[in-house]
Amino acid sequence: MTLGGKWCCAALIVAGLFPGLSRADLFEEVMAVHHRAKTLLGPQRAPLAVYVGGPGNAWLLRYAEVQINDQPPVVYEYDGFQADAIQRGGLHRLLATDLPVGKHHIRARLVVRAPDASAATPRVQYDIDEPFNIGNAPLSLELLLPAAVGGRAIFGVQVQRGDGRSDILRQRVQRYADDAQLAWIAAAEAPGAMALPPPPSPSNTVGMFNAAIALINGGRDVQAVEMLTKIGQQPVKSPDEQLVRDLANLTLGYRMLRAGNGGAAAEALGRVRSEGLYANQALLGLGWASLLPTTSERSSARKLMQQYQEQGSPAAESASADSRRRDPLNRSWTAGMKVSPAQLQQALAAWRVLERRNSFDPIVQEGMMLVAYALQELGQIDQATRQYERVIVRLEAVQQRLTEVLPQVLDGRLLAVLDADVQSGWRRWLADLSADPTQGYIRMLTADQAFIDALEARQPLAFQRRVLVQDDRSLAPLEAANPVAANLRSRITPLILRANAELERSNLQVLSAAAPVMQSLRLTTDAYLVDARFALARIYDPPSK
Amino acid sequence: MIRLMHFSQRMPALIRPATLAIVLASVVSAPALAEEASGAELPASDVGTRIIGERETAAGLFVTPWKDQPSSTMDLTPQPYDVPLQSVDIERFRRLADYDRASRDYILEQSLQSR
Repeated sequence: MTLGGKWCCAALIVAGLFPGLSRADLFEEVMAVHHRAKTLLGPQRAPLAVYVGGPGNAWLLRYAEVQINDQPPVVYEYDGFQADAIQRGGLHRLLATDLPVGKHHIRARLVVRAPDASAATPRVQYDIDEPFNIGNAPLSLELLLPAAVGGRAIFGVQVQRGDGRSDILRQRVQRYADDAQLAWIAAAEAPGAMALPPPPSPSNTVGMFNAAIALINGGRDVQAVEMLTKIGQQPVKSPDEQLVRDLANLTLGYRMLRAGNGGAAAEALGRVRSEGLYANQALLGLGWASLLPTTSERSSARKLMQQYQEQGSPAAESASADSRRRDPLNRSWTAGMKVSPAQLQQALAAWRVLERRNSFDPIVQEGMMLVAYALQELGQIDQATRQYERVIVRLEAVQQRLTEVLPQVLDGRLLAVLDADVQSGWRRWLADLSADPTQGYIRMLTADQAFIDALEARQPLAFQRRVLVQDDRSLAPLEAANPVAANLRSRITPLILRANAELERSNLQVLSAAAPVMQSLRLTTDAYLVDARFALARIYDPPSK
Repeated sequence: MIRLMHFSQRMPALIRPATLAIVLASVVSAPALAEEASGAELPASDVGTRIIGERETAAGLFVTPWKDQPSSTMDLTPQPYDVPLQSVDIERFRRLADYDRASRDYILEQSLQSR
């Protein structure tokens, strides 16, 4: 039996010991034990804690590095949410360690930038190098960023000393965790916030979008289009409202494509943010919108569209596969329509932008093929041949990469990477992984709701296990002399087993959410690769008429 | 006793073709069984190797597929993209938005850093 299998069995046995304990109850129980352990451990040690923040500072903190004496430095890179949280007055505990009584030395480097910095604006770096004494009481060092006036700092970084017990400090640490969407860490900071907070209330935009979808499904397209247009044009601020506006514009754009209205489709799709989650779908649609006929021809186009949609059965698909390959642009939204070279050039402009993006994305793969089809249609056979060759090379690279990473994702190595790297706030969002072109599949995973739901549900479980293991280790030396510590450890041991069981179950949920996404990527890549090879073969050896 | 079913009879809709195949196989072996039971003398023209009895009865099982074979996916070009018409769950959607924002922020940060 593998190590993972043994853990799984142990976890299932232990799960039976706590039949009525839900995940939320378990989290509360863990936090209660953790706060008792903190109270018990507090007077026994002289710990040093280093915090980073600022009094409502105007900088965005990007990077911090702290070194005590000659110990290895602690490095942390802040994600967007964390930098915002610090800017709003939160404090991040960057380091907590035990030190012997006596003289010590701290070296730190903080890298910040102005919130509206452009590529030409240099970053600002602050270096701190100073000695400090530690006695029998705990010591906190707050590295406070300076306020900025007119984009310039008025002072350097201040190092503020304290005993780490003040309510203000605790509140600011908790506020940082709340603002940075780290509710589980906030719960560990203060006994008052032991339970995870309830989800925020829905916005009006989301409600309107859902109503528009209900109207479409109820056959009331005119009202739905009006509502989607309204959502798509209203100013919004929060990330979820921006995303729902993009989705509304995308939905509207494709409704217009379906209706054969290229102008309205292009207008709606043009409002989708060019770097957002729905940007690739919008670019694909923009290309098709350029191929649609003018308004006067719209009614006949709509008739042809209906004919196309009626023949949507798999049998019809299979029968038409050959004809579709012979005339690949004569399908989808432009089936049966005449397309002019000028329209093709316009479509190429959008599809060329699309095809340079993440090649793991099936929409981008479609874009690569469409560029080649359009070139072929324009009679530029040499360019089309080169494009097909490039597509084949890119898709083969994607195929090879998927073969390599599929086992790594499915056996949990991806989660190990996530757990191991605590030095970067970006890692929680897998954002730094997705930025690497060879990791383009990560972007596809984080665009999948089931996957991120499972990943986010796992975060507090991984955290609670870390907290329990750490508390257990800290209490072990006190156990012999202190019966309260012994009692607390006897409570922690079964909780660790239970936390392991929950984490194991959660890992399985993450992996089972990742598997269909990865397999679907593999299937679409294979299918487009086959199409590209066929297309190239037809150029070299055209079928007899 | 083997009960023969005439095809003119209306067969229940639930009988699968595979069941029918087993019944037909049994019908093929029925004359051999009847001959063994009668114990009659064999005519001279039939002298030679002859297989009689249940063990030696050639049994044939005809398996008829009960559903159509799925069509190959290799020959199908991927379907054109269309937006799925699904309502949005705010909590899940917010998470999606946060992941999207974090990914874009990271790329922006890297581009600022590299200048």
